[in-house]
Amino acid sequence: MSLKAKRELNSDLNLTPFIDLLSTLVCFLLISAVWIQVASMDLKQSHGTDGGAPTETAAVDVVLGKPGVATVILKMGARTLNRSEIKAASTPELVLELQKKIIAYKNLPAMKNGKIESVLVAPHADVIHGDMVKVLDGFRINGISNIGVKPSAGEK
Amino acid sequence: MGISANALHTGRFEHHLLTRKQKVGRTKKALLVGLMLTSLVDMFSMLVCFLLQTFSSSPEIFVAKDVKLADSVSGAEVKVAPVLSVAKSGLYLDKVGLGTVDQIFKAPAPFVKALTTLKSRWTKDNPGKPFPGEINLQADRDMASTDVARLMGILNSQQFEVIQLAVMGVQ
Repeated sequence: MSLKAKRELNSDLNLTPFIDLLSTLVCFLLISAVWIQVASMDLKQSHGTDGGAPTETAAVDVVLGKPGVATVILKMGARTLNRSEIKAASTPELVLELQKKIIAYKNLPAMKNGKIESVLVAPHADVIHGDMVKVLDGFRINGISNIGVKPSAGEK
Repeated sequence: MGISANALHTGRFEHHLLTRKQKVGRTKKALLVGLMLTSLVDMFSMLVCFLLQTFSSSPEIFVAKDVKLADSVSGAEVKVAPVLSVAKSGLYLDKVGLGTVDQIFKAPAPFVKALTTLKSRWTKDNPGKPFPGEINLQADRDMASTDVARLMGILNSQQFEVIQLAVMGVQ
């Protein structure tokens, strides 16, 4: 057998199917890509369903006044434990103040066996929806998930 | 000076074209038509990696053109439910226009009727199951919050009690 007759070994990688696959993948992923990250915030408008809870449950009513102003009322059943007014320069500052207030409420002696279960927010007509969402966001960050909105704080 | 196929490290097909060209017209210079695929494959691979990383299989909801959603850091995954879009231009329930917000507040009958239809359709499609009362509410961030709250009140009255407020998720 002659060595000259030996055929050359083709070691080239056939890239065509690989490029086909990549092109298809790129097309599919580009079409199904999500560019806007829409999320959702659950609001539970009905309250008072936690009658059988082992601990005393407290609720916070927040009346959003004119931008930066809020009245916070802490309730345990029918009793009002605390009522305070917050005045801040802007909505982000108000959110911070509300968060501090919630922490302060959690540390009250009357709240030793209690837990803040729900927050009901009543916005003023001057408060825009974006600001109200910031306030709701602040409560959710503090671990309160049972949040509702009621339309009663005042018209323009 | 001719181009040597071996010097260029071309593939088999390009090699064949090159040698044929050299054999046929010895006086003419061979034209190399080989395409460098390495950079193309690199780019595609990077694109695929990036798109796979940003891929999300969670359900998406249609956001109306004139609705600018409020930002939120605590937003959760969107659930599949009817979508109520509220903008200054009007109110849309599952992309069907119901009139402006003022018109709805003056005469809420069409809105209430649309909600009732939605509820009865769900009950018909899911017999024996309790109505979940879920609805996605998209409201423009510059709208008066009392208007949004009043709409929530109407939703509650029609047993849509689990309102998922659509927000723009921010990190």
